[in-house]
Amino acid sequence: MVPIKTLLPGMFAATTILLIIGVALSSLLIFAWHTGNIAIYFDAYLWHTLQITCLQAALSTLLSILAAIVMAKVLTLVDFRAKSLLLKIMSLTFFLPSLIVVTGIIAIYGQHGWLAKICHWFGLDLHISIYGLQGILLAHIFLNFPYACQLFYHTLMAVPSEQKKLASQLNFSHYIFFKIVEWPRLKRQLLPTALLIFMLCFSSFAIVLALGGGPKYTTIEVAIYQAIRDFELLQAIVLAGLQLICLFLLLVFSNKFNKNSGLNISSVPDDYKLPLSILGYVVTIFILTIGVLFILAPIVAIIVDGIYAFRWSLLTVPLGLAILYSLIIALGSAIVTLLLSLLLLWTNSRLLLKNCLRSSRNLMIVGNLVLMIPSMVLASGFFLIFFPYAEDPLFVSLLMIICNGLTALPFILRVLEIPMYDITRQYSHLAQLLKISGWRHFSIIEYRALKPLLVISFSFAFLLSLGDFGVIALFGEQSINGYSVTTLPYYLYEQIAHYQSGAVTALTLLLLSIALMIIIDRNRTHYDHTK
Amino acid sequence: MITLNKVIYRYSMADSEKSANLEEVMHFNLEIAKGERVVVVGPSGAGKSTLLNLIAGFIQPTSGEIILNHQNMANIPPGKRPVSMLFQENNLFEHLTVAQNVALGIKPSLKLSREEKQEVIDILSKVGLEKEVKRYPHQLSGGQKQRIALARSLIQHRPILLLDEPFSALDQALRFEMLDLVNHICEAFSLTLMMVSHYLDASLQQFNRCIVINDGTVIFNDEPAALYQPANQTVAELLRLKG
Repeated sequence: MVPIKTLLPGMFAATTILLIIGVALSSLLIFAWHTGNIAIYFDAYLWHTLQITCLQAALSTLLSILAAIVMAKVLTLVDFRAKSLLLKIMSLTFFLPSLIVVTGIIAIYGQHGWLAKICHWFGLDLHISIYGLQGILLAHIFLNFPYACQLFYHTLMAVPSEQKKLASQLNFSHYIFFKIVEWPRLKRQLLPTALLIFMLCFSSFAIVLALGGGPKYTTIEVAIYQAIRDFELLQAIVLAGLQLICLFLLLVFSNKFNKNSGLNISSVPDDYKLPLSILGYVVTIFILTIGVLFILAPIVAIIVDGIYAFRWSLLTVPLGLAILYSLIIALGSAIVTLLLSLLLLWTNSRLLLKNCLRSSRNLMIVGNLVLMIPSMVLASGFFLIFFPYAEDPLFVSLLMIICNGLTALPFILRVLEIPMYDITRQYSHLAQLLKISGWRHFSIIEYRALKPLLVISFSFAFLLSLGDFGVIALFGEQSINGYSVTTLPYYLYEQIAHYQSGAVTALTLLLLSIALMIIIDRNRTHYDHTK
Repeated sequence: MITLNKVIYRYSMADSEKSANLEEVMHFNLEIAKGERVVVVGPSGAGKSTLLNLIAGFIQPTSGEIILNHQNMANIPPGKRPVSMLFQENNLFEHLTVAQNVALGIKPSLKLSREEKQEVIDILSKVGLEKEVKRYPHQLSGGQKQRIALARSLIQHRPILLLDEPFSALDQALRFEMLDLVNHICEAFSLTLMMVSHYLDASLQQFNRCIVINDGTVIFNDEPAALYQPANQTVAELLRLKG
């Protein structure tokens, strides 16, 4: 039997999570129950929304994956100095705040963006509106394609150099080599990656809200938000239910295929590349340049535009308040996330050690439950209960801390789960001999051994909360008296929505995010070395 | 058949302790006649694999000539050289069947005519694996895998066979069995063989010639038995040969 003392931390965390989610969901359900006729909301608009949501997610996924495969292949063909830096950037754009992505995309492809300016300089007048499906797709590809690309790149680089040598001896063309050697390896990774991207695009909120350009292109997530703003609460509930069912089905589907994603990313130095013809080389460099420009231009544009637009007078009180609120809320939710995940994993590691696989799995399901419940659903549940307090900054901050903390939980669990178990197992006998347990066990073993990972988790949760634009969109709207909570993403959205220049706000948010990413990267390197 | 004329190969090696790049130079002069069977030995890191990679064309010499079949091939890509090469591992593509792996030696597109399919079966019977055509590499033993790789290099009809420690992962008895097979095949197909080995036992006597490499250059080039002559004591000591 597992002693109650080891069960307690995990049970406490799980109960808290279930309670929070339960309260939000039941408030939605009770409200629906009391209002009666739900059927009127199952109209054409609902199906249209569902169709558009699926369509944009499917297209975004398809294009991201295709671009990722081409770019990954190109990257394996050439070596250059900044390659490892580029790969690092590619693995991080995935976690950029979505409103930063929006700003960057507008800065490049917008009506007064860099692309239009360059075309104008050449005497071409470009009149493509960024708002609509094209804008959504562009932003989703920018967000997801680099991440998929660096995953695929590592898979392609894991092809043993002997096989590359054999291929060139057997006169394989690049096409044959891709078909026979690389494609079978990529194929295994394709579906899990595609499902992840699809799911993220499916519940995409800020990008669709900012770039969708009206009700024609809306996702369920945006529709929930708009329904609440129009006080069509019942419609919001129907939509939230629909979103919940879709995400549940997607999760079940992806779990079915996710069984074998145990990738062995080996960093064996590759010492051979297939010979490349001059034409092949030119094409490779061409694709590479476009890919690099596509990834870096929006980020560079934010930095340049931000510096260019900088005036001391732009450092207003609202901006300062937004920064302050953002930092406090991010700090709070990072603490919540780390605390919950450590409590869950403390018990989980010990359950695994005692071979209680089923209890461990149930515990982890509770921790990952939020994946299924989008923050907009969570927020709308709380919105219904706590509507009277919606103007109290302290309350809204607390609510955001809890919601953001929960949203980040599955990601942090994924980072910490295996290392926590490994370290517990590794020192299990030694700890028993030396009678190290409880808090002392944590401070001597987990804390010291996993410190870089804990810093990574904390920064990661901080970053996710910092960039969040979901819950705040609901509660921020109530700022009639000017005392309400604003965060950096909210402030930025207000500026974008009112066609003001958000350059300085975007730069601030971007720099904060980059700082966190550097902390994450440093600690990742440190951890990999000490392991 | 194989002539290396003043071949110089420079490369830089990252030195992690000094965090600087050290430049190393290897130079080879070598002449091997058609049909010879040569074993290449020497301390690890001495340049044995580099020598084979130069001949196969996976790396290019900084200067000098690599003459294969009376033609300087120093800058010819590997696929156009009269050379096939096998490695210690990863010689087969795991998701292709035995027959497909061999067929790659005829056509990378795998679209074979009936005659070519028969050729695959014939060559597999030469290495005693004609019954395994439909199986996948992971269903085979280490020795069987190397036999199939050997069959594929035979079907390429290339007169020079390079082997980079292909049997090092096999046990003693199997290793000698494979060496017998290779010798037999080299005679039957009149191939020129160069094989890197780290074994300094009786297997050396199966070759016409032994080349010892140290510090990126050839320090001994004679028949294997000569290693035990008093004149070559320093080489024997370097290899820790017991007399």
